[in-house]
Amino acid sequence: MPALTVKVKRFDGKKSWWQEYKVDIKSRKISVLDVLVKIKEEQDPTLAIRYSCRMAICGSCGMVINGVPRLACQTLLAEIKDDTITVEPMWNHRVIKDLVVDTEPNFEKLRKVKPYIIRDLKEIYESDMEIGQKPEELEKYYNFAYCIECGLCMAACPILATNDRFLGPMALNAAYRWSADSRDRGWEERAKIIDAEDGVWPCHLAYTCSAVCPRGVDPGFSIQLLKASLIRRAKRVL
Amino acid sequence: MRAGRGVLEWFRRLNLERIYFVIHRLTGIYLVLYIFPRPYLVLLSGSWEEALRLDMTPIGKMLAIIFIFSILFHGINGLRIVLIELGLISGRPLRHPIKPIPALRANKLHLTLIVATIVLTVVGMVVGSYLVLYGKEHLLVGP
Repeated sequence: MPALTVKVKRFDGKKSWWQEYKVDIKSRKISVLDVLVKIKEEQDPTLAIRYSCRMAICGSCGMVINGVPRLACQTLLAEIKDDTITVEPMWNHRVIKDLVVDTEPNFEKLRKVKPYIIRDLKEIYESDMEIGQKPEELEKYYNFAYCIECGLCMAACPILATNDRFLGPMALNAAYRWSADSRDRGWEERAKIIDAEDGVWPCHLAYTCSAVCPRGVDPGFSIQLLKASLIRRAKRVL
Repeated sequence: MRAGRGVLEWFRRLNLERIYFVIHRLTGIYLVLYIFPRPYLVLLSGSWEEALRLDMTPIGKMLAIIFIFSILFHGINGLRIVLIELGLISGRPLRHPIKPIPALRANKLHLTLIVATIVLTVVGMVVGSYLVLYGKEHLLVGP
């Protein structure tokens, strides 16, 4: 097999530069993450990458591969026809080192929308009532619950590129997911948070968040559903 | 260091809707820049007729053609966005076993509007440009 050329955008805390590596591969049935780990093990131990599960569940290895935000573990070389791969850190994030970015602001925003079931505690702990859910109620939020919080949608969002305060697709999708849950009673509380200048309204439907989501969560659509609910002043999300 | 290119991130051609997004933004900015100074143009020129004379210059005609494109695209695409935001264009994301399909891409009305936006803009622009360039010969009547 011909050698693969991997161009990595590196950052050492002070300066940023592109570094090129030549990697011998036996097959294209390996992921970009495998290639990066091979570089780290065999050529350059100073290359910083973040990964964990290697199977698109933990959401740690988000990066920009050939100009598209993707999970490195989920991107196979077979999908990339070119013999040159460019890898850079996720856009719209502060870079800590090389491909490792600071995702804490994403989680701060996530916490703002209260991503959990809000319900009267007495109802939960003191009542014998079972809180059930019908299949059609589950269907309302099921797809949006697949989010692994990898932050690729935040990297792809053009609004976040110019407005840091925007809650972003990851947090807003969580706001929809929990509000659409029939067991939840927190819509009014969340509506106050998202019906704000930096809530749902800065989203102008570039829909890139949904296009790049590795889990098919469709956060762009959940934001539109939140807008529709707010416009109609619905007592529950639509 | 923050990764990305700031405002230049708007211009990444990652998906079709993103291209519509950036054209929508640019046309919005152009509409403000074209319409907002016009009252001041009249004041500076001294009269409405004098200000209109500027529109008949080659540069004025070019700006008017861009204005026609901007107002058509911004208006029709804006209508699509409003319909989605009101929840009138809806659907559900499809969980295809290999590649999931976002809800709006699975909605036929939405896809029709995406195509209609560009078709109506192009048709309107052709007609509008013809009127800007040759309308004087066809439309002006009287002495």
